[in-house]
Amino acid sequence: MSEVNAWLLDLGEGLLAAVGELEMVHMLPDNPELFEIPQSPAYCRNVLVWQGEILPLMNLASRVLDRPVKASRNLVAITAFQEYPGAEVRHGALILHAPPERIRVNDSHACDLSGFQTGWRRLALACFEYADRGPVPVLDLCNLFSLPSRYASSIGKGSFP
Amino acid sequence: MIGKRPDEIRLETSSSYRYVVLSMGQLGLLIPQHQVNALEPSFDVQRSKGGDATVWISVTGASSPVYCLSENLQIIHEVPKDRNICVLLDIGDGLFGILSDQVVMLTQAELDIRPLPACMQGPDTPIRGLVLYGEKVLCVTTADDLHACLGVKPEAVGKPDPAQLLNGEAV
Repeated sequence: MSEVNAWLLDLGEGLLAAVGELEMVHMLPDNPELFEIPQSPAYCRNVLVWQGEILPLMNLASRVLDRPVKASRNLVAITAFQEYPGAEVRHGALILHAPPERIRVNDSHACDLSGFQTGWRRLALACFEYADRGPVPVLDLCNLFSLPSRYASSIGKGSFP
Repeated sequence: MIGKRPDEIRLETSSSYRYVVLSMGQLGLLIPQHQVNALEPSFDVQRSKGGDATVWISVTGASSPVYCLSENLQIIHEVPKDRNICVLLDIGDGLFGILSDQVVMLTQAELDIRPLPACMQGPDTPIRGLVLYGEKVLCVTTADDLHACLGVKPEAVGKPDPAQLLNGEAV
C-alpha cells in the first residue's frame, strides 16, 4: 500500500483541503504586501510579488462558499503546479486560516468525490478521509489557478465538509 | 465579454512600443501611448454637463467627458485632491478623459508584461496583463477596454479635432 506525504490546509470556515508534499513551496510571513487588481473576482482580488513573479492570491473558502470570507490571519502559502509533466512550473498563492499540517495519506483513506458538488470536483483531483476531520479534497492546483471566474457560478456552496 | 483568455491576449513586444502609466491612488494603469490624445492640467476641466461624467473638458472646441475613477475603476464624483492631470484617451469614435495623480511614460523594453492570471479574469475586467515595475504592480489595459468597463453611453465621448491631431499635439 503506497503512502505519501501531504499538507493539510485549513482554508477557514471549516473548509479543509490537501496538496502534495512538493506542491507547497513557501509560507510567507504575516501580511505580505498585496496589490489590488480592479474588477477581479472577490475571491481573487489581490496579487503579490514572490521571487520576482506576480502571483494571484486566492481566498479559496470565499470561492467555494461563494460569499466573502474574511481571513482571520494573513497566512499565505505559495503553491507550485504544472499543467503536465515537464511543463513550466507555475505558482499561485492561497490564504490559509492556520499553519499547514503535514500528514501521511495512503490508499485506504481514499473516498468518493461524488458527494461533493460539481464545482468542488473541478477543483479537486481526489478525496480522502482523514482521521476525525472528515473528507478532504486534494486540490487540482492547475485548475484552481487556471479556470477563469466564469466557472465560479458552478462552484459548490458549502457542501463540504 | 471584455476580459480575454490568456490565449486571446496579444501583447505588443516591440522594444519601441511605448506606454503611459496613469496613477490613481495605489492603482497604476498601463495604457498604450498611441491611445493617449492629450494631457491637460485638471484646472482646465470644467464641471459639468451632468450625465455619467464627473466633469467635462473642452480641447480646441470639442467637449469630452472626463471621469474620475476609484481604485476599483468605478466612477466617483468627488475628485481626490491629487487628481491633477486629465489624460484624454482616443477610442477611435471619440475622446474621453481620466483624471490621474501622475503620468509616466515607459517603453516596452523596460517592461515584462504577463497575462492576467486566468483565475482573476472576470466577465467585465478591462485588465489584460500585469507588470512588475520597481516595487509596484501595474495593470495593463487599453482605452477601449477601460471605456467599455465604465458602462457609459457610447455617445458620451467627445469627437477629436482633426486639426489638433495634424498639428502633432497628441502625446
